[in-house]
Amino acid sequence: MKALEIKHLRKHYGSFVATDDVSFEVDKGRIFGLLGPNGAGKTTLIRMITNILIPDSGEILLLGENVSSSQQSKIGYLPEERGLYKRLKVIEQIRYFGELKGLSTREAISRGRAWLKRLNAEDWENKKVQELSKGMSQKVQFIATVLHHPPLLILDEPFSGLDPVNAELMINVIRELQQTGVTVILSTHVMEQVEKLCDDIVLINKGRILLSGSVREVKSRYGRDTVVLEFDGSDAFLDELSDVRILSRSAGRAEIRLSGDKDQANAIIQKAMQHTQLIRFEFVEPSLHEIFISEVNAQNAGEKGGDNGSH
Amino acid sequence: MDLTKVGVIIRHEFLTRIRSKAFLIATLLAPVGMLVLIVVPIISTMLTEETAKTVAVRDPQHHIDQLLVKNDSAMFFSTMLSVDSLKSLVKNKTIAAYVVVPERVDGSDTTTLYSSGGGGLMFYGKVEDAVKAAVRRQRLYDRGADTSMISVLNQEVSYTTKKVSDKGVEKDSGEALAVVGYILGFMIYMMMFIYGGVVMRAVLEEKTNRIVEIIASSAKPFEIMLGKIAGVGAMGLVQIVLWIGLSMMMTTFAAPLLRDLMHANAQATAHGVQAAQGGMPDFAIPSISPWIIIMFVFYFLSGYFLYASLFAAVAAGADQEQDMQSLQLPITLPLIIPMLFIGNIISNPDGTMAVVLSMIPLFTPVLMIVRIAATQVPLWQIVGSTVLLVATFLGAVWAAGRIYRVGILSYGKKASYGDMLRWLFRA
Repeated sequence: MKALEIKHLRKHYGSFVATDDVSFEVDKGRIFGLLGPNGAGKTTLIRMITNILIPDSGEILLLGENVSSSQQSKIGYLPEERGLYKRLKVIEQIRYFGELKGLSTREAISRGRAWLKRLNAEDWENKKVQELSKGMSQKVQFIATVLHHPPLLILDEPFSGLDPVNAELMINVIRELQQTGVTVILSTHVMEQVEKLCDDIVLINKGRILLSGSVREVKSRYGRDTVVLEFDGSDAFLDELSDVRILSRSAGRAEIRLSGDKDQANAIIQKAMQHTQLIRFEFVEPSLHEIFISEVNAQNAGEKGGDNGSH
Repeated sequence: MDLTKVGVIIRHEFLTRIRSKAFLIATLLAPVGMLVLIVVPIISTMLTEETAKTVAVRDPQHHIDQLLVKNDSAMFFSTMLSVDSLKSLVKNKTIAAYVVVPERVDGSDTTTLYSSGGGGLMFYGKVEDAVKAAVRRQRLYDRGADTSMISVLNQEVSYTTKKVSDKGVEKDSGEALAVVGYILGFMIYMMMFIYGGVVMRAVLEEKTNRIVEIIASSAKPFEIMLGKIAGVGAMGLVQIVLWIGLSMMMTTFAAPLLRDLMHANAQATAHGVQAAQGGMPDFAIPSISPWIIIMFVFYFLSGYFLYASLFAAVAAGADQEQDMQSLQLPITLPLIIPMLFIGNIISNPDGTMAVVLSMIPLFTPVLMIVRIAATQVPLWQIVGSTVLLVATFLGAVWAAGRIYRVGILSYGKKASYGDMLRWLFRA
C-alpha cells in the first residue's frame, strides 16, 4: 500500500486550471519532493490532499483510503505562510492545534513539552507568540504540525527563517521521523535541500507534471553531460565558447552544460588551459537546480511556440 | 459534522476570550460607565442649582412680584430700580436677569425676561413656569376667585390605569413594560452589533495571520465558523450575566446614596416653585415574566447567530481591516433600521406597522421582544415570525458557511458581492 496515491486530479478556478490531470504516488517512509515554480499549482495540490479544497475530479488515496475530514488527523501540514495566534502562549497554541487533531488536553501538553525540549526551546513554554523571533515561531509551528504523530507530513518551505544550526537540527528531526516510518512531502524552492533530503521528486508546472521519479533516476536520465571546471585566472574565455550553456559561473568556477559531442569538452579544456591555470575538470550529473530550470523553461517556451502556431 | 471538533473550537474561543484582559476591563468598566452616565447628570444638575441665580422682578403694579418672592425668595426679589440700572446690574453679573411685568396681566401684554444670555435651559424654564403660574393665579384672583378656589384648581388629580385580562382586573404596568421592552430590544441590538463585530474581527485576524489554513486542515470550514460564533456567543452570555449582576450590586450600593442626594435636593427646593409641576408618576418596576425572559434569550441567540454568521461571511471576503467597513454595510443597515422604528412600535405596539416590521426576520429579534414586553402579541404572529426567523437563520448560517469556506483561502484582494454570490454556488 502506498502512503499517497493521486489519480487524475483536476481543479480549476473559473477558467484558470490549477491542476490538470495530475497523477503520482508516494511510497511509505520516503521523503518526497514536490517541486515547481511559483503558481505551478503546488498549494492547490496540497490543499486538496489536506482536504481543505475539494477536487473537481480525480482521486486522492491516503494510506489506501479516500481523503475526507476524518482522514485529516493522519496528516500534519506545515503551510508556507505560518499562522499562530499572536497573543497566545506557546504551550496554549500547541495544545489547541493538538486538540483539533483529536489529542486530549493532557496528551497535547505533555507531547508539546517533550517536543519543545527536543528542539531546545523548553524555556518558551509560557512566552507569547508575539515575543518570539521568526525562527522560534517556526519551531512552534513545526511542533503543532507533528504533535499528533501523523503518518504523512506535508512541509512547505520548512527551513525558511531558520539559521544554519537550526536548519540542521530540523533536518535531523525530519530524518528521525522518516526512520519511524513517517512519509514526508517536502515542498521547497531550495534545490540543495531537495538533493540532501529527498528520495523521490515530482516537478509540476502550470498544473501539469513535468517529470517524476527518484532523484537518482531523474538525474541519470539527463546523463553526464555537465562539466564543472575550476581554474586560476580570468573567466573571460568562457564568453568565447559556442554551442554550450553556462549554468553558473563564479570566481574561478563554472558549470557548463554540453549540447552534444565530446569534442566540445576538449575545446573547453584547450581554451581553459590557454587562458588560465586549470585546477579541476569533471563530468558530473546535472544538479536538480539545473534540471528544474531547463525543464520549466522548455515547457514555457514550447507553449509560447505552440500559441504562435509555429509548431 | 464533527461535534468534538466544534467543541474544541468553542472551548478555545470561549476560554481565550474570557481570560483576556480586554474582557475583564470591558466587563468591569461597562456598568461603571453606565452608572457614571446616569449619576453624573443627576449630580451635576443638583450642583448647578446650588449656584442660585437671582432674578429681579420689576412689577410697578405689584401683580405678581410678591407671590414670586414668597414662593422662591432665593431666586426672586422685587425691585423698583430703573431699567437702565437693572441693565448694568445684569452686565456686571450682580444679578442673573430681570423680569419686567407689564401694567396689565389680564390681556395680551407680554412679560419679558432680560438676561445676558446663556443661563441654561433649566433656568429659563424655571422662571417661565414660575411667572406663568403667578400670572394665572393673579388673573383668577382679579376675577374674584377666592384663595380656596385657587388652591382647588392646583390640587393634584389622581388618575391610574388598570388592565383587564383573563386573570381579572389588575394593575396595568404597560408604560413601565414598554420601557422594559425598549431596554430589551436595545440590548439585543447592541449585543448583535458588538458580538457580531467580535466574530468579524476574529475571522479576519485568522485569515490575515494565515492561521485558518492550519485549522482548515484539521476541521471543516463550517465547523470552524460555527465553533467561533458559538464560542463568542458563550462569552457574550457570560458577559451579560456578569453585567446584570454587577449592575444590581451597584444599584444596591448606589441607590441609597442617590436617594439621599435627591432627598436633600428636594428639601432645598421644597419651598420653591412647584405650583405648576405635577408629582412624579408612580413608576413601579414591573415584574418581568419568565415568558419575556425566555423570549429574550431566544431572540438574542437566534439574532446573534443570524447576524454573526453574516459578519463572518463579510470578514471572509475582506482582505484587510478597511475592506470590512464597506463590505458590512448590507448587514449593518438591517440592524439599524429597526432602531429607527422602535419609538413608533412602543407607542403603538399593535399597529399594522409594528406587526409587519416585527414579522420581517432580520428585524424580528429587536422588534418582537419590544412588542412582547409592551403588549399581548397574538400567538400566530409569534409562531409565524419564529418560523420565518429560524428559517432565515438556518439559511444565513448555511450561506455564510459557503462564502466563508472559499473566502478564508482567497488572498490578495477584497471580494465583491458578485464574488461572494459565486462562492455561494461553487461546488
